[in-house]
Amino acid sequence: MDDDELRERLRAMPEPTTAIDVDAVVTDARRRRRPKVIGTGVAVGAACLAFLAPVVVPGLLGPDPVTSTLQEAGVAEQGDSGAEPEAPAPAATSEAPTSAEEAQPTDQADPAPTYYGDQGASGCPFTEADVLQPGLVLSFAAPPADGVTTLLVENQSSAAIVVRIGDVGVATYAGGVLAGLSVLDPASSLDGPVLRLAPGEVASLDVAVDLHPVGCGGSGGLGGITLPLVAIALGEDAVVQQRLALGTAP
Amino acid sequence: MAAHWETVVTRLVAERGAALTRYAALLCGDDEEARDLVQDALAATFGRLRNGFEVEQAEAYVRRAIANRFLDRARRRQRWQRIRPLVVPHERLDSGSTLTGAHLDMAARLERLSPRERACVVLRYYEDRSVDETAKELGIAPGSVKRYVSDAMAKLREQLATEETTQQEGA
Repeated sequence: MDDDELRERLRAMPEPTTAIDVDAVVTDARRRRRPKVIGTGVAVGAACLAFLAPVVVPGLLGPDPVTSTLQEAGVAEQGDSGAEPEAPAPAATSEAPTSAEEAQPTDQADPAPTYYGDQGASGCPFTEADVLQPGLVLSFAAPPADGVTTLLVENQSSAAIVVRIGDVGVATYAGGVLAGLSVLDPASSLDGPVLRLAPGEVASLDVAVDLHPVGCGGSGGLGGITLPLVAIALGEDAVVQQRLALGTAP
Repeated sequence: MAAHWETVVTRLVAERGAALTRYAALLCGDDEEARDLVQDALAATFGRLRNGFEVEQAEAYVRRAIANRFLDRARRRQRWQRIRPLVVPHERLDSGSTLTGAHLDMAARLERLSPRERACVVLRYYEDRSVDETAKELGIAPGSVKRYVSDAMAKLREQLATEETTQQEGA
């Protein structure tokens, strides 16, 4: 059997008689999209709450007797907004990571998770430890302006890595701190290709990118540097470990 | 009003649904399973694709999802088949297939290939993809594609030779 004969025999096989149920497809796709919408709504709600709480809560608690007394006495109050002054951002989160190795937590002995952005009061749904993957360097070949771009996946470790690529989103940095993250669900989105990367090997994939990051409640706002945030699974069967991985600047 | 992605999925199924099902059927060898594979791939793809995709772009993602799902299912099935004789008594079931004659032979021959060999053969010879395109689609190295295709062709030739010998002996 030569190539042409095989081609001919494959094409001569009859058409399947089954039809696709488009309504079932749309219903299933809607169901799969919903968790992201709910996740985005919850995160946005939490961010709004964190933003408004310092203003609303003192108002609900009523006037402070001392302040009221001073105001009644005609003493002007200087710069009272009802909010506590913001604590300075910790050094570990003051700069965007430039590589996976540099982005590793500096204090390996501290088991407590460190939240990006506003120290846990933010809308960022995962911790620094969740988004780091030592040895695996992810970057966009070009800015994903239209929602599609090429993702570069490089194995910078000394061992081979098997990784399945799932949903791709973005992490945005503004003013040196993490400002926003796409809401990805690593548990339900891992249907992308499996990459087997030798040490030093780089793979490129055309991917759709979620370009709607949710604000982390930091002062920088959205915008600035955009890094890839990718749902990945590691291991031969791609079920060993599922997590999110933060990329680096190209 | 339907969202843009819903319009795209409806158009994709109307215009390319038969081609996608045929592609899936060549991979898995069963019409019903092919339909499930395509519907699952469509739902997964449109469950995460953003608006702005048109039919052609979406079809490429769906085809990739079909191939990945086929290989995943085959992997799970292989695990099950390894332990199946220990827990389930052997039985023969009618597949319900309507294939006859030469088509049945070809379907049976494809079934004897491993899932990756089958995927490589379908992509290379039915979809007319290059070795590099096939490798990219399946997430494996181009060298692996060449090896799978070579092994598959050797198996198909061997099956044909065996069938011809059997026919000659019968005559």
